[in-house]
This record gives sequence, C-alpha cells and structure tokens, in this order.
Amino acid sequence: MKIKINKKEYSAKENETVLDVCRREGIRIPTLCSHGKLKREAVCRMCLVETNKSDKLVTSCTTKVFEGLEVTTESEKIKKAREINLELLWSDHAGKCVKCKKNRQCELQTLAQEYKIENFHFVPRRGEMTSGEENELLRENWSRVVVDEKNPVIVRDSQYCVECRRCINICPISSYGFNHRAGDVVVGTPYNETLDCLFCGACVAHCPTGALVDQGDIQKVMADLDDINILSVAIVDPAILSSVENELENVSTLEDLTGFLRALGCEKIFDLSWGFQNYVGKVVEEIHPHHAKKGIKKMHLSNFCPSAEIYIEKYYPALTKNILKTKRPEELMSEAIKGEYATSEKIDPKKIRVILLSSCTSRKKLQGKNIDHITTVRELGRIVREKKMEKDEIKSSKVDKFLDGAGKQYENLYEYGQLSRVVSSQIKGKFSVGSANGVVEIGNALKAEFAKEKHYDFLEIMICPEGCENGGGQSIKIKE
Amino acid sequence: MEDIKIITKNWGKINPLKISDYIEVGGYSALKKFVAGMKPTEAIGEVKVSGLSGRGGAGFSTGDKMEMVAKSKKHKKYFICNLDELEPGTYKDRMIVDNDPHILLEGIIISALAIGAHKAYIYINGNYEKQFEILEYALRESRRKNLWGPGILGTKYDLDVELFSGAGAYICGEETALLNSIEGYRGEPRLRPPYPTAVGLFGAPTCVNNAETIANLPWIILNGGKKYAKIGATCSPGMKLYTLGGVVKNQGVVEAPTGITIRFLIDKLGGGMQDEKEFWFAQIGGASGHLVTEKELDTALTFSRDCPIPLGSGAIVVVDKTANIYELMLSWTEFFRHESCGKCVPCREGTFRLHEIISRLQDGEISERDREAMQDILWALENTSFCPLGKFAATAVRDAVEKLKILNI
Amino acid sequence: MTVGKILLNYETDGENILPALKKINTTFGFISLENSRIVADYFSVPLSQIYETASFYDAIKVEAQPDVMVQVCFSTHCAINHSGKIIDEIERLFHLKVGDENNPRIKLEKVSCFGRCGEGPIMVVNGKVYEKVAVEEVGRILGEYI
Repeated sequence: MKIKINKKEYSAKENETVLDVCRREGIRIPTLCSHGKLKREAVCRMCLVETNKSDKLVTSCTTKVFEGLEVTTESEKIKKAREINLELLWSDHAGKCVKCKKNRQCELQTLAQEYKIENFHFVPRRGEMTSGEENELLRENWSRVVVDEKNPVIVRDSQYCVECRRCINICPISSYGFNHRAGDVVVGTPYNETLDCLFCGACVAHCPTGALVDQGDIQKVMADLDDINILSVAIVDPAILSSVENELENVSTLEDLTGFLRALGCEKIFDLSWGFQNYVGKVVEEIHPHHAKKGIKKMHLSNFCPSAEIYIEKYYPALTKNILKTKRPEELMSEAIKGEYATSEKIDPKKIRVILLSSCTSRKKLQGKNIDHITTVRELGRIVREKKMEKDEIKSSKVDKFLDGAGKQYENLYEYGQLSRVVSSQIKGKFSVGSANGVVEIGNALKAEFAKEKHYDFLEIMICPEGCENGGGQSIKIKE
Repeated sequence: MEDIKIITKNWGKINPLKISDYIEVGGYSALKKFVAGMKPTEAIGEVKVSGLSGRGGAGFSTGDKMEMVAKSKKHKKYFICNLDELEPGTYKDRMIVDNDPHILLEGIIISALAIGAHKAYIYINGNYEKQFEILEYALRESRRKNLWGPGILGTKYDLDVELFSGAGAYICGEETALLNSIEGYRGEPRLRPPYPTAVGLFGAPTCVNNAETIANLPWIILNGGKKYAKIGATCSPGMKLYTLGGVVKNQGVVEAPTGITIRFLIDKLGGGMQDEKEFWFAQIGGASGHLVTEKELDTALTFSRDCPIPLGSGAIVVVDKTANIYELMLSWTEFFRHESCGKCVPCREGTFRLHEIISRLQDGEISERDREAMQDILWALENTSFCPLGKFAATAVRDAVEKLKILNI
Repeated sequence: MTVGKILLNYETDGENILPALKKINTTFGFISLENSRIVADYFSVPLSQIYETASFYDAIKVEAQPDVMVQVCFSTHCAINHSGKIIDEIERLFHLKVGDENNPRIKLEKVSCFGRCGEGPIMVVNGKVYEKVAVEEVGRILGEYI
C-alpha cells in the first residue's frame, strides 16, 4: 500500500507501524521507550506525529499504516509536545550529566540537546520558594530513589530512570517491575532487593539513560594503562567488533581497534583464538570419557555463557552437574599469560595486568587473580572519551601472536552454534549436538530431552539472542 | 414525561434483600420474556433502537458494543458489569445496589445471554463492602431461583456470575485497566486497538458496561427500544441518575431524563441553593468534570460529542462563593497525582508537577515561571497522554483558570 | 492462619491473584517479601508481577503499617466540607505530616473518594469509617486508638 509521510509517497506493508516505515526510510522520529523488536509501550510520547485521520497527536510506534494515510512528522504542535514531555522527564532526572557514566551516550541527553531543553521551568529555583516548600519538594522528589550497587555486575540508580520499561520487557527472567503508582513509580526489583539475576546485561545495553550501568571502575583500568611499570595486556573478544563502532567512531575492524588499544596504552594485544582452541580441546577431553562408555546417555551443557550457567543453577538445579567444568577461553588464556607467557618473556607476572574486552557482562564475575579488568564495549567507549583520544592520531595495527598461535578455524568460536559444530567434529562416533539461545529455547530443548523426544549429547546454551554478538556488554546505537 | 422512573422505580418501595419483593413488582419478567421468546439479535436490536449509551461517562452506544461481542464467533466471551465507581462525588451505582440489587442482576443476566457470554463478572469498588455483601446475598437468592447458573430457567444455557472486588485504584474504572486488574496485573490501561470487544479479558471478546447502563435493560426489553428512545434528549435518550452534592438543598441521587439543563437540576431537582447561598460554579461529572458558571446554566446535559459540558458520570457539585478555590484545586490535582497509573510521561510527571504548582499558590499568587509551567503541563496532559485520565486531570484546573479567572491568567 | 492455608482457598488462575493478595493483606496487615514469593510460586508468575500488582493498589500495602492508620478523604465533596481542616488538626495534634513514615505508631494519609459523599467529611481509622467528622471531634476519636 501507499502512504504519505511529510507529503512524500512511500510504500508500506500491512501491519507495519508508521515508525517502522519511517525507520526504514530514514525519517527521524525520536523515541525513548520503543527499541528494536521490544514490545511497543507507547509511554514516552516522543514519537507523536500528526495524521490526516484525526486532529489528535498519535504515537507513530503503535499506529498501523493503512491505504491513504498521510503523516506529518514535524510541526509546531509535535515540537511542542516533545519539548514539554522531554522537559518533564528532564526535571525529574538527576541532571548530573558530567559525572554520569552514560554522559554523551545517553538517549535522554541527546534528545534534550536536540530539542534545546535547558531551562527547568517546572522546578522552581531556591529563592522562589519558602524553606518549607523547598523541603517538601526535596522530600517528594527523593522519597523513592533506589540505588543498588551491591551486585557484582550492574549498578542501578532510579534517579536516572525515565520509566521507559525497556529493561522490564527485555529481561529474560522478569527481574524488574513497574512498581507503585503515579509520581511514586519506581522501575526496579521487588521490594528493592539487590539484583540477583542472570547478569546477562541486556537491560544495561538497552537502558536509554544512566539508570542501569556497568559495575566497575574504569579509573583503575586507566591508571594501569598509564603506569609504565605495568605491562597491560588486552585480550580482545572478537564479538565486540559488531558494536564497537557505536562507541568509537569509524572503528569496525580488529586492526582499527588494535591501533586504538595501543594508543590507549596496551602493551600487548591478543585476540581469543588461542583461548578458543584450548577451550575446545578441554571440552572434548571432558566429554569424551563419558561418551566412550557405552550405554551412558549424559547430556553435557556448555559453560561458555556464564549467564546460561546461572540460569541452569537457578531454574534446573538438578542439571548443574551436567554443566562442563572446563575453564573458559579467557580464563585459560589469562592463566597462560601470567604463567607460560610471563616465563617465556621473562616478566614478573605481578607486573602484568590482563584486561579482557568483552561483549559479555556476566563475565565480570570472572574478574580475579588472572583477569584483572573486564571491560565492556561501553566502558571502552568511556575510557576513550575520558582520554579525549582523536581517531586521526591512530594507526591500524595487527594483534600480537600469542605463544604458538592458534588455528584460524577457532577464530569465530564466539558465534552462536560454532561451539557445538566444532565439538561434534572432534568427537568420533555418533554424537548429537544442539544449540539453544534465550531462556525459551533452552527451556524447550530441555523439555524435549526430559520427555525423551530428543537427546543431546552436547547442548550449547546461550542467554543472549544469537549469542555474544548481541551480548549485554555491547553498545547500542543511541539514535535508531 | 418526567414522571417516568426506570432505574429508581422500586427504591424505597421494596425490601432490596428480598427477591420475592422484586418479583412481586414484575422483576425478572424481562429476563423471562427474553428467555421465552426473544433471539439475542432481537434483544440487542431493541437496545440499539433505544439509543442507550454508556452511563459511566464515555457515552458509547451500548447496543453497538453488545453487538460487536455478540457477532464474534469465539466460544469464550465475557460480560462485565463495571461497578468500580471511584469518581469523586459519584455514588449512583452504590445506590442502585443499596435499593434494588436485583434490577442490576437481571440486566447483567440479560446482557450476558444476549452477547453469548457464559461468564459474567461484577467488578465492584473495593470500598463498597456492604454492597458486596448485598450482591452476594442477591446472587445466592437468584441462583436458588435458577435465574443464573447451569441451565437458566430450564434452558440449556449456563451462566456463571462472579463478584470481583477492586482494590482502590480510580483508573480501574477505565475498561481496559479493569481487565488488567481482574487478570492479576497492575490496573493500567491497555493500548487500543485492539478494543476489549475483540480482545478483552484473558484475550476473549468482552463487553464491559457500567452498572447504571445495565439497570436500564430490563425496562427496554419489556417496553421496547422505541419507547425508551422517546425519553430525554434525542442525541442520547433515556433516563439518567444524577448525584447532587455541594450547597444544594436536596443532596443525593435522583433519576431524571437526559437533556435537562443544569439550572433545572439545581433549582428543581436539587431544590435550589442552601440557605440563600450565592452560586459560584458547579462541577459536572466528578473530579474529571468541567466547571460551569452562571451563564452556562441553561446548557442541556447530554452524552453527545457536541455537548459543551459532557454529562460524564452525572455527578454535580454546586459551589458557592465562600468555598476556598485553592483548596479545591489542591483536591483535584492531588487526586490525579495520586490516581495516575504512572504509565505515560505527561500524566505521571505532569500530574506530579501540577500538584506541586497548585500547592505553592494557596495565597493566590503565582510566579511567572509557575504560570508558564502550568499552561505547558495542562496542554501536554490534554494533547499527549496515553489514556483519557490525563485529559481529565487538566479539565477542572483549566476551567478554574479560564472560566473563574482566578490567578488572573 | 498461614499464607499457604489462605492460598488453598483459591484456584491458581490469574483472576484470583488480586483477591488472594487482598485477603493476605487483611490478615497480616501487609504483604511481605516472603509472602509475595509464596504467592508468586502458587500462581506460577514472576515475583516482579506480584510486587507490581501489590504496590499498585491503595488497598494493599507492601510495607508493615503503623498501629494506627488514619485516612482522610480529600476528594471534592469532602474538601468542600473542609476535610483539609481535619488533616491540619491531626498534623497539629500528633506532630506529623501527611504521608510521613517517621512515626511508627500513627500514619496519616489523604485518600480518594470512598463513595460516601453525602456523609462527608469522611475519616477512616484502621478501616473504621467515621462520617461527618467535626474538627473538634478528631482528638477524641483518635484518642480511642492511641
């Protein structure tokens, strides 16, 4: 069918929304609540547009197209609506942008700049109120602030929240709720308990503001990078290349990124191939003796995804023993860096700092003796912004060779489905493998296994959709 | 014409707890007539002809709504009687239950049968504990008489009627929020379309009607839609319950046709002002209603979209010049600041800020900043909120500013 | 009475969640985290849904309540009948503010319409409804509770 947007004709498909068409055609409509395939809530009211159907403003994210529809995406009325609602959000916002971890990567801040929201005219200045009124205002505004810094992966601060519900809709285990009512609404966990989830990080990746951010101290990373007595070794999980461009402009290849990391102060940079290769070897070693014994039908569950491991422990505790015990690629590699590698290079392992650049937030729990820092794509962006690095100073570079190197075939092991493929190719005899991503698929696969409809000798399980490329540590575009 | 009583005809004349009293005055004869010889389409046809529209305030055609659900081929359908009634100043539905619960039950049973629902709910205001008990008792009595339950009146039709008590949330009077509430969720309004008539309770086609609307049905079935259509205003005919309050002599609930003027309501039905007090303004339709001043008193109240003063829930509060308008504005804004579900930005943040601004102006002074902010918030509530509650939150405050000229804006 | 016993009166359909929560609330005064977990398991829904629902409705509390809960209607009719003055009087008598959580013994709330508009101003103390309350009576009525 044909519809008109801003007087120009476009073709549209049945069941598409106005926003879908605009996104496809590159017509900008701001949104704070709608994102990708997430449920369309129509609560932020940023995407309001005018149509020839009524004199009311309608949300483009939920208005389905129909023959003869004419849409206007910019007008005085639309601008006014966006401005007022943005300012309402802004005046309820912590407004501490400079210190905020999402500074310059925040969707609210970006929109506030675009719509020039500067004066807070909904909140009076000090001199304009009596002290009683001022206290009342503070009490009302702060009575429901909830901060959670106790969990190892995600920092939550409701002062920054714009109640968009993305985290509620994306959480695979429904950790969050829209709690209380009216101006008292707090998006968060039941009874404000500390987050105890899979730590997949999808909520952090999708939060438009600084309400959900990575736990971790980039200042420590920067201090290590700058310390000339410390050898900073970066391990790059190649999965991050799919989103690194959202943080570092025009950086999309491993060579570009390596150049960047050298400029940041990383003395050695390795990709994960060596870790991947050794991991596969260990996995095969762990499975093979069981498999070789006749008559034993044990299902092995991959441990590559730490969130999936937590999921099994929480929801299928009886299967915990089926999860592989092998150390993960980055664990094997960091161990080798501080062991074999340090010896061969004659470096004191105490002077080595291993920085894992990962697309995974739940890996943050692996931080410890061998992995000193685990940095998500978002945190890498913050480091670069804080260091005020310019792209034109940086030359592309190749990663360093680690020990004896590793076969090319292991390079892409992070891709969903690769692990089960590689493992099955290395085990002789009849060996059935499968892979499942997301809690629904994992649940279905396990159901089939329990019902004996299907048997998996090895099941690769990942929580993030399609695995690490859509990992919770990735950066999403702030302007869709 | 004014002598006709449809909803209140038995009030004070029968013992509301005795089903036999109700039957004696002709009660349940509409149901029997329907069961004995009317097709559902005929019954709905009568309702359509009657021009009856939703008495909760929206004014949507009742017959059309019933027909939409009746036409659905889905096996599972629901009928819901909306007795949430949390609009401040409105207690007409409570009075129906207090005085004549069976007229409501008869209406519910007819409605459910007409649309083909085998399960009906009565969603009753959580504060109405006594009324809950009255209905519980009335349901037991009528069940014993086989007026609902398995095989109604010897037919093969099964109908279950269940009482569901709300838990104190104004927004649950909105039909989609009400559905969420029954399903065990927050009472937030849903996105439409789809409308409840297509995808309602637990995904099934659902017809939600206000209690007062339903109480008209037995009369319409017995006397015909044509006769009903002759009562009151032509655009939205019928009888209406008005809840009179404030400084009028006779306070309480009265039944009168639609289309009467506000002056008639105050002077004739309300018996005029108390103690020669001086009329300032009246609010029509509860906290979400418009304010009317002296010069609008001759406006006829209807449910038509063209009516400048929507009739809403039919509540009317008369205010005299001794009232503290700032306290009233505080009452309105506080109400919505508390009752907004919090889902969309303008309503959650706007009602919150509006209440802040109003609480700063008890002396009638308003700063230039607050003046601008108030105009912006009112505009955003009216034009950008998710559901009608946002718009309601602005109505009375805007009228106070524009019609009563307080704050000199 | 335990939560488990209360729940046995309800089938595990969604439509029983709100009634069950109301019942638990009246029995225990509020819904605790522990009890929410039990309800969530019973109805096989996420804990977050139970808390979302429980925290939404006025009639259900998610925190322990003080011994004396005073609610004063501040909707149109009662406001016209000066329920504001009753609120002021309670604030003055007990040195507290509306909504304060500081005093563990008494809490004052402004609430929405009870649907008893003809009888205002309305004050509710621990669920008991007082109609046509006069400012002078407030001290005496609350004295019975404290």
